[in-house]
Amino acid sequence: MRDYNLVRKWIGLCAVCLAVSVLATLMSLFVATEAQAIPAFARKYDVNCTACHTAPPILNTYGQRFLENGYQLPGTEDGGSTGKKKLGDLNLDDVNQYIGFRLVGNAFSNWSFKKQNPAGADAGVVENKSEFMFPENFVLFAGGTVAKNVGFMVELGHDVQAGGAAVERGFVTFNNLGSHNLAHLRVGKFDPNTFSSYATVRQQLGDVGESQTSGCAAFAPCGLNRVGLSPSAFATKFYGLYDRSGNYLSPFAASLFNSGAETGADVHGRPFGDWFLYQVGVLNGANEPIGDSNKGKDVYGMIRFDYGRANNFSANISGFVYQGNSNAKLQTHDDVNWNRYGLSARATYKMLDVYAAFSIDKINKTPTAFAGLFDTTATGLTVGADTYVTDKTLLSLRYDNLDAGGMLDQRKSVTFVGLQAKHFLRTNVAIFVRNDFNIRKAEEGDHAARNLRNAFFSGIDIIF
Amino acid sequence: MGIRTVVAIGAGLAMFSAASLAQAMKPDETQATREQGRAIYERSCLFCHGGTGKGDGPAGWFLGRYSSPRPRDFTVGEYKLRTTASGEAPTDQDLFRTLTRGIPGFMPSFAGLSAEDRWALIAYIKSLSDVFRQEAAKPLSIGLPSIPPTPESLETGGTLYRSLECFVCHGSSGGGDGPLAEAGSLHDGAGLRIAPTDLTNRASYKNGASVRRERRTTLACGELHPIALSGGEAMTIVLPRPLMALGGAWIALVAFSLPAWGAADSGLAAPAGATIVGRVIFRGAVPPPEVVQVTRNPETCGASQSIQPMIVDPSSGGVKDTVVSLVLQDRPVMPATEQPSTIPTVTNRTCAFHPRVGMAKTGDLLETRNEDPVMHNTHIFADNRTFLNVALVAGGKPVQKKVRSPGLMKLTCDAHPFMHGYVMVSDHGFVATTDALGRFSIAGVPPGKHEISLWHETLGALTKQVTVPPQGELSVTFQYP
Repeated sequence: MRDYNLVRKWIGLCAVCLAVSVLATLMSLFVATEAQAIPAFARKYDVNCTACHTAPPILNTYGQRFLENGYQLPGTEDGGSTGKKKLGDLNLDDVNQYIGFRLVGNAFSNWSFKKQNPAGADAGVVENKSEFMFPENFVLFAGGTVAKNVGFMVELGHDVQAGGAAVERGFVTFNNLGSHNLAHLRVGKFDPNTFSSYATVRQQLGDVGESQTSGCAAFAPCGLNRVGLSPSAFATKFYGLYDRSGNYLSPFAASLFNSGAETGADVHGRPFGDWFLYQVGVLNGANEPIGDSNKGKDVYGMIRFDYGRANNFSANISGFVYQGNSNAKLQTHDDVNWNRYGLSARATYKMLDVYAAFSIDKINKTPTAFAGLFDTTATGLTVGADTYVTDKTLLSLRYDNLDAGGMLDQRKSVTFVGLQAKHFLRTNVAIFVRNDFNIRKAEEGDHAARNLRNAFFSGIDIIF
Repeated sequence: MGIRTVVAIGAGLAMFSAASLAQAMKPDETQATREQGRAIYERSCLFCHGGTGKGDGPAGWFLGRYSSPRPRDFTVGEYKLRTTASGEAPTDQDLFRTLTRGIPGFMPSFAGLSAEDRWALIAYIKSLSDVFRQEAAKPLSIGLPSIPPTPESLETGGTLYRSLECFVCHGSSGGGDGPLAEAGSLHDGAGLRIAPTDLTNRASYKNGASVRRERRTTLACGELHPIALSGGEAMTIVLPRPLMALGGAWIALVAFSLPAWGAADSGLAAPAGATIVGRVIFRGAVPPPEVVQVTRNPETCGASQSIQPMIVDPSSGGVKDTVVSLVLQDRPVMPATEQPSTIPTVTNRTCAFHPRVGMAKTGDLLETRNEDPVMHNTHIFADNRTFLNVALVAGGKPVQKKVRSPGLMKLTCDAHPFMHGYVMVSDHGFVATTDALGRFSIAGVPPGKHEISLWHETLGALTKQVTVPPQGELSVTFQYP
């Protein structure tokens, strides 16, 4: 037995050494090849990433106003012909000022479970293991302005491990309607909460999706091999919800106002000055692709208050209401209204960036048959902080607590803390190591929310 | 089409472009214009430059993080991108050009604003600093030839690059990784580490990497590119050939000939009145000097340097390099002087500042020169901000900068950190430093009750009240401790 443990230790050590070697090789490749690597918007405006980002992909106040202004510099309407090539009636930037790509994900992971392959879990999935992988997400995006006050963004994403490519986001913007900063209109598939204090698509600790057991039938309970590691405040939170096709909704996936992408239209603006932002919108509905079934539209509204003029300090707080309309189904195929109410806040002072979000989800119109079987309320809290410890090294911390709702026999609350060290080789090329700890791992049971004890990742984040 | 033709066309287009900018309609600067500019500032500039223009906006810290640069502090009125002499304010056209073209890497172009809005913005920014309330500075006017990247000019440039020790900061390959950069020795006035330009990367050039922008960089090199070259003739510094193969921009830094800056408005001449003479003595044991091992340029600086800020005459106890100044209750009217003005000078010699403790008067041109056969990087701080940061190459010409504010300036050399010095700046001229015997003399002191203040680098400060007669001599003795 002792020899066996020694062998295991040696194998583990060799695996770590190999991982470091591979990362070092990747680093050397990236360092040596390109000297002028700046992403599309940075290329267009000839500035470093940090003109708009605290640490990519998180925006600083200037980047937020750039985003709000429809990819035009704050206070300007520079989407016109300024600085663009004139081709007859057309005005164009160089193509490379529109297009960028991002490759991000884990190159190495290590999973640690309390119990190996418990009953109900897929064989060979839930077991302590270290594995190499290719970074999961490759995103090609194009964005910018095509005319004065008309902008667009298209993101084509490819999940390397799951396969397939899809338009993750794609929308057009019509900006400064009425007067400057009065109203900006977005139409298409977009992330609704992108203007709030804590945006879903801008995370330092990337989402790690859950693993569901295979062979789940439509409108049937689906077990989890492993929980997902994602911001709890943005998550679905409920066990036992289904989309219109009967697909089981992951309790950990971002949804509703905090969805990464939904189809609809919204308007935002700052009519009273920089201190106040409003946003109202309508969506086809959670998990509704283009081509609504006309069951009903979801509506939402958000307000945000900003403070920050000097001393390298800024703070803001946002509140939102999301009203669902037959936007989910239960196992009985009954429609329910799934609503969300939330707050998020952020404060930035020099090297320190602290942010948090809290949301309460409520299910209305639950059939009486579910009385005593279904918890209609769930909450999620996410608190994060980033700090630069050197010019190029960013430490990040994220705390997630999900008090789950839904079917009482399925639900299980989870609490995780993630720590990450990210080193920027350039402002757009970074390597990272991350570890997520299960705060409730000592609690009883083999449920996936308890069984996963620890997860370690190392990977890369490259944006060109 | 030959390369000279291409360069000539490029230069023509550059001139046309510059002329277009220069001819942009500049409205009168009125209160209404400034208010208009303020509104634009709050929408477009506040996030980096801060609500009061101090360069502390909520997004500004992230530009350089722990390093330079931070957004410009408009209240101080110091600008790097300009065509005026070192220490002068930029011209309106300089500001307009920077606003229009941006600063590659750090500030986007604001050409998206109308010309009227940009001028209004400039009017507001100028209102944030007293510097622009003085007489408008005039741009330096020098002719700079275009220098094509021929094999000969590349060879010349490479030789100059090495002989001028550009590699000390920029590295032997031009990557901004010279030994001083790697050692973290280069800092700005706020103490932030300066990263020398990566000459192989176009995006690293704050003033742009085109030929025409190089000219402007050279013009403003007093601070933007702190290097002083000798002679008035054109010289080319071109990157070594391997860098050209990497696609890096070829640079042509052309030596500039600063116009005669004229005499200072006045020297330390004092009006008629009494003369205060005296001595500063020290009674006690003089601590031994600090011996510092020299790691750079030992052939000039020696293997070690003996640092002794307390120079005491063993027989009389007189203390050298003590600053003696009057604290005047009412500033006297200074009569015009016919004496020729003097230029206070600090000389780098045998890896030390001479004098170690000097003095100057507000309005003086403080001169810094290098008599050593090695490069020095004189870095002068005033009120904890950089007053001058200049690389003085061997055999290079002196650099002058006008002193604007009274107070104690600290001198150091980024290339030789053991070098230290001081310049006391007064706004009245009644200042002296003690000689090797601890003696001093201040002439032309107006009668009345005054306070005499002493400052010494290690012994600290002393003060004494005196009553000065209308004429004659007043003798005063100070004793440390």
